[in-house]
Amino acid sequence: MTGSGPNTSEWRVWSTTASVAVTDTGSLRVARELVQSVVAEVDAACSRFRPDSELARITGRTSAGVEVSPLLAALVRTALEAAALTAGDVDPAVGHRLIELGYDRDIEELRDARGVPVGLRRLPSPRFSWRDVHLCGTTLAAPDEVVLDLGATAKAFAADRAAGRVASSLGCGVLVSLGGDIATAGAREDGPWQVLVEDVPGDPRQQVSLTPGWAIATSSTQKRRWLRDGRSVHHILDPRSGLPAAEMWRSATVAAPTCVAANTLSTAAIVRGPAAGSWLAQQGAAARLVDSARHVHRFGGWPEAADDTEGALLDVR
Amino acid sequence: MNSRIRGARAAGAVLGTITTVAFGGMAALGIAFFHQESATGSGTSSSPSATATPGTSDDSTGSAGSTGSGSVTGGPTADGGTGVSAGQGGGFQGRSSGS
Repeated sequence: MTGSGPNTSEWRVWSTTASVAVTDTGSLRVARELVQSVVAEVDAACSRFRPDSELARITGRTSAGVEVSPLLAALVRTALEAAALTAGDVDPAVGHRLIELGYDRDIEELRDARGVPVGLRRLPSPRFSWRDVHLCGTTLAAPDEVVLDLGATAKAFAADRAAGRVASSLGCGVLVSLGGDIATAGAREDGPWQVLVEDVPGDPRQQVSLTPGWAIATSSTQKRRWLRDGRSVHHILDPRSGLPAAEMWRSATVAAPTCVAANTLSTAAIVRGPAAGSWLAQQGAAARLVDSARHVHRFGGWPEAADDTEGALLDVR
Repeated sequence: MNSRIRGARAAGAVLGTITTVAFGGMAALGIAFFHQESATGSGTSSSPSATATPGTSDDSTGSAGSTGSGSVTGGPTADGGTGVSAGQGGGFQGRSSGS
C-alpha cells in the first residue's frame, strides 16, 4: 500500500512489510540497500528463529557471562532500558514462555502450535525476569535457562538505526517503516511526513503529520496471532502472568523522538490495559489507543481528527 | 516540557547532543533512547551515558545504550512538541500498524 510511488520502495521481511521513503528519488535504490543491510545485521544478531544467529548461539550458556558483539550488546541494552522504563511491562526475558505458548518459529509458519500441552495456565510467578539479565559493556550474563526475546524492541531499534544511516549516508530525508514501526531522519522541505495510522482493515484510521526526526509505533493484539490448543493467542505477553495481555486495547500508537521509545511505550500500553492512559500521560507522550469496541482514545496531545473512520485515503507521494 | 539531553562522557568518549521536546517523562526516568546513527556522532561506545536536563531545573542521569552516538532531531514545531499533529490529507508516505 505504500510501495508504488517513485520515492518509496517496499518489500517483505520478518513476516511483515518494510518500506523506505526518501525525499530524493535518486537515492531510493541505495537507501533501500542501506535499510536492508541494517535489517540483516539485526537479524543475524538477535533472531530467535534462526539457529545461526548470535543470540541463538549464546542461549543456554550465559550463566558465567559471555562476550557478545557490540550490536547484540546494544540490542540487549535497549531491551533492558525498555524494561526499566516500563517497570518490567516490556520484558526481554519472556522468550521461554513464548516458546511454551508455541511461538517458536516465524509467525508465518505458525498456524496451530501443538507442542508441549502447557495450555494457557497462568504462571504462579515468573521464574526469571529482565532483572536476572546483566550487561556490562559487551559481557552478557543471565541464568542459562533464560531465553531472551528482543522482538519487542529490535524492530524499532532497526528502524531508528536504518533511518539514521540513510540520512547520514545520503543526506536526504527518509522515512523507514518496519512492520509499521516508523522512524524518520533528515530534513523534509515539503513539511512533515504523512503517516496513516490503521492497525487492521476495519479499525479506525487516521492520517497524521509526523515531524521529521520523530518516530511513531503501533503495537497490536490483532497481529501475530496463532492457535494454542485451539484458542487464538497473540504475541504481547504480560510478563507477570506469562499469558498474552488482556485485549482491552486492539492497538496502541505512540509518537516519540525515537522508534524505540515509541514502541516501548505502545507495547507497555497494551500490557497495562486500563492503566495505560494515565501512565502514558505521565510519560508526556502523544498516544492513540483503540479499544476492543474500536473506540479511539487520545492522550498527551494526540491530534483530534475528523477522519478516524474515513476510508479512501490516497497513497500519493 | 522541553528536555535537553546532552551527551556525557562515557568510556572516555564524548557523545553528541540530543534535544528532545515533550519527553520529560523519559528524561526524568533517566532513560535516553537514542539509537540513530548520526553523521555528527562520535563512534562506538559500549557503555554510553547521558545526562538529562528536563526544562531548566532538575537534572537526572541515565544510561543510553547504543553503539554509536546519535541525535534525536525532533524539534519544536506546530505540533506542540509531541511530534505529531493533524494530517494534511493528500496521501501518506508511511503506514503505522501493528505487525
